Amino acid sequence: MSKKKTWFGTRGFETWVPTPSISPDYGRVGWSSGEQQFTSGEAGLRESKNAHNTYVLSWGISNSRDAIRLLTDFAEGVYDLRDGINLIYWIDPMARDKNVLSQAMATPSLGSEDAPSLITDADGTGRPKAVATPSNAFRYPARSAQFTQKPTSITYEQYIPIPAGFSAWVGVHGDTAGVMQVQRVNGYTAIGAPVVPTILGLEANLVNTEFSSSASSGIVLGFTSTLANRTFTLYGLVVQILPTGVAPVAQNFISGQGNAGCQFVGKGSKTPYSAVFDRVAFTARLVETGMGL
Amino acid sequence: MSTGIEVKVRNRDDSYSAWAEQRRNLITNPLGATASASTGYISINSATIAFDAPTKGVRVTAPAAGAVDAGTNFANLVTYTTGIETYTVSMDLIGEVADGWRISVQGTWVPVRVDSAYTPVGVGQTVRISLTFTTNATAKGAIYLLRQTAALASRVVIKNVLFEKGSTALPFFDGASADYELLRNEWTSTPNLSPSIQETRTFSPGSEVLKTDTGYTVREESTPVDTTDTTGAAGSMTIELFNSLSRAATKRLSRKTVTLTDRGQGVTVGVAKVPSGSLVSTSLTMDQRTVALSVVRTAQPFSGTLRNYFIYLLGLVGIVDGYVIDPVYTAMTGTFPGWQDEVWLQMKRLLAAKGGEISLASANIIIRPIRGRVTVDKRDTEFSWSMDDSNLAQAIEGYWYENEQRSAGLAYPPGGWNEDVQVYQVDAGETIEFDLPLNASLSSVNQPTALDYVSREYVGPNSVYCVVGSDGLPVPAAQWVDAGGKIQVLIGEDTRSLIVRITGASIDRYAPFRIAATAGPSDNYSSLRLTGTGVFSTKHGPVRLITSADEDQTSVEIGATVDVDFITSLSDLYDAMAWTLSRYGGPRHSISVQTTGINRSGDSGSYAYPTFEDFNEYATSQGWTTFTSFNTAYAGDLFQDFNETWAATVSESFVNQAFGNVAGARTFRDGLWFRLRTTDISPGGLSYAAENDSTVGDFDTWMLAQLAERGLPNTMASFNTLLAERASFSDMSAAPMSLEN
Repeated sequence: MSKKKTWFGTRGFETWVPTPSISPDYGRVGWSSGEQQFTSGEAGLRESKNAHNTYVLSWGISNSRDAIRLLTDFAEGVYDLRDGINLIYWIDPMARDKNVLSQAMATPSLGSEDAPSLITDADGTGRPKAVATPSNAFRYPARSAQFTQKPTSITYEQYIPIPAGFSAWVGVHGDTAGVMQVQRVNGYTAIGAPVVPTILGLEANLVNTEFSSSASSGIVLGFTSTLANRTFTLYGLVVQILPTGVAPVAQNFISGQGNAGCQFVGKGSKTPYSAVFDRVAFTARLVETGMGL
Repeated sequence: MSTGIEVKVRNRDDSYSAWAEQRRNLITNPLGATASASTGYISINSATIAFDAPTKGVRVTAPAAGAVDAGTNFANLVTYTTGIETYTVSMDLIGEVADGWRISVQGTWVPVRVDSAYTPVGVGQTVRISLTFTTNATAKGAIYLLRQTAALASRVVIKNVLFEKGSTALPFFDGASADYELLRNEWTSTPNLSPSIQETRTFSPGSEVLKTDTGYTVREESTPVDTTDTTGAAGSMTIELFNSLSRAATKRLSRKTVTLTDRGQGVTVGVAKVPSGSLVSTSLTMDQRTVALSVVRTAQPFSGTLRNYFIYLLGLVGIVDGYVIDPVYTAMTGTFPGWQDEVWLQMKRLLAAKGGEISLASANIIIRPIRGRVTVDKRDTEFSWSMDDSNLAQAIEGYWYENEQRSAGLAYPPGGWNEDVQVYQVDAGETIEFDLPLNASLSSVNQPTALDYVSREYVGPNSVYCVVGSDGLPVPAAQWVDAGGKIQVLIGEDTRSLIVRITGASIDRYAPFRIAATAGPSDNYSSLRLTGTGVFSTKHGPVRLITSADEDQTSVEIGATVDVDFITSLSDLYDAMAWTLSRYGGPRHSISVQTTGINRSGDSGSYAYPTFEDFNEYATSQGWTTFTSFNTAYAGDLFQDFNETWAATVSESFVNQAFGNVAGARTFRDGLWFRLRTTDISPGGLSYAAENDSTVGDFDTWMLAQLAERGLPNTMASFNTLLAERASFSDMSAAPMSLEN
């Protein structure tokens, strides 16, 4: 990958686009009651722990019309495989080699409070129980998610695109083997049988199972099905995107730095500078809606 | 983004699809977990076949120095339909003497013999082997398990034999395999002597969770403490939904049951009214579950515990579960007449008369004593107060009822015959119908019988009457009846009246007839006596209490009349009138507050109350299945202890139940206790309006504390000293529990 390119697009149609200009505006936005001033002189505030990402990205004057058209086509639904909302997936260079999962996915215990639960009952209700994570030296989340999965449960899955020439390294950290799986996909089409990564514990090896970009646009990280009710605990989930051939590094746990899929807010704003010199600038705002849909 | 807010709509009952066959094991004795014999496994080339009880498998022992292809043929166990089809056979082999083994299909049903490779099976090893083959359209041939080495006394135990269509060796199953919610296994006929099928089904939840991000408002009103106060409506809520549903689906939400869960404020349940929406969002207005009580019903007369009466009233509107009645009402009894009215209105009167309130908390309808909870004001963001003297009156009045349950009591004439009792008259063959109001509420009435004579003093036990003709002489009962004369009685819808239908006998010469007895030529009196079973009431009163407002302050002489069937003693009447008096005798104090929370602990701004689900789970774990066992476990503890214990169990947990617990709570402001009457709860906090709720008991408690603090004796002199600055009782009542000038 060129350092000046970012992997970006709708599912199955991701491609290299110019990397946004420096100093983009990344926001984490959650619900808030707003700051309340009490008559006692003290203050109060109620907020969600979970949040979603917002990105204000700009592509400067150095970009060609064809390069910017890649972006505007995504914004305008030219590469939507399905009706309705087609999320935009992009591998944020700031998160790529850390943990590209969304925070609510990477730290499942957040679902015990306000974040979407990774497993719900069939009617959409039900949350994991937050339990203390066993003592460890690798800074895993203080609390882990204890799920009870039923045959009728609805399980959440997250799509992660894999840029050409890169591999996705997956690490499932928990107390029970066989509860999560990775399905290679090309767009929405499954490629081969699902793979069940070997379960990892509270350790420095954050990831252990590699999926290259060969013949697939990405992977879907989700849960295996069950015939009977089962209870298990997840400490954390990690997915790193590394150049194929580069081994992951043992280190402390890294929380989710990526997103679960975004939507363009509006269609972006394009500034045509010069047809003669083929120079166009573009600014767009993306909001992460992948786990809120 | 939400903050743990969920809106669940119940569309229908949960349902499952029909079971559908997914797999079929064609082996009739597959040697699964319930196998009991070696039926169908045939010896080949001098092998020994025997059932092995410990493993529930079949032991195949091939002789040393025998044929290579010694083993077993189990083709007889295959339920086979002629045709070209691909099958896969697989089985577990438990090695007892190490050797290699293979499956071999031979004979007419395959074009050429098909063998699997030999699979080595070591001693103690369990190895699953399989073979896939495609049949001819011919009859079944042979299928063998054969050993590899002729020189050995090869020995293996066969288990879990699977023969099914398809080219994949799938996991073993038979009719005895474990069943699950969405998967089951069955024998097609006799267990271990027939094929097995594996079936699956799908689950369709009757509810769905809608997306909400813009929040909600839940309005709750506490039921009043004054029996003449009709305020206190069933709760309502408005929820703003993100448009995750189509408009058509949104419109179908009307009349559906909706559960609102906010991890900060609790759970409440409502019934959707009519939704409305825009391009962006949908607004859903609902009534809380208690709205079910806002319908008119007829209640029968009742005598028993208040708990049972509450259960009966809830049952009148179809609420048979999901309610919690405070144990205090198990010990309280009452005898009440029947009525026809809105159940919610009567419930409020009853609760006000008995010092209770009703609310909806954690989706349960709660009936409990008032003043159980106290708020704190440390999170207030707005506060205002007001006094209103537009309802002043010089006095109030009240009545109380002496109610008695009687069988075959005299319902008409009320209190027995007297000279004012009307004599009814009917012509020959004529039918007249009229209502008789009663001082009783009847559940049954005795149909009247015609007699020749009824005395003035007759009071029962039967319903009777006699008839006088136009000549002033008694009409014999037999003659009256033979000529079609009769009286029929029905209980009115409100149970407090009788509908009387009189048909005159067809004897023209004696008409018109009077339902009367004669004691002389001009001395007739009503003879109609009607008896029945029910609650008989004697109304006492009026009792008048003078307020502190005189005629210069208000021209209203009687501000309100306390007249409630549920006030059954003079003591109860005075208690009830005290509350009414406070609302008409001086300005009504009220406050309005905005706050982020009114609880005593925690940071969510709401009460932390345990749910009954929490308790049930714990009680089950303790083996408490009856109230007796519960009572034993909590012997010697006050209910308050119990509450506190359970509050402690959830103070750090999800269950912060503001819904249903905020309205009716009390708050102390400026020398007065106020009771929260109307609350609007939203994700970010709540606002409430509260009314003066100060009691004499409150004042006593406060005054004793003031005296103790100052080391003063508990005397009127001390009282006077402390309140010397107050010019009048009116001054004092403005802020009775404040020494601030």
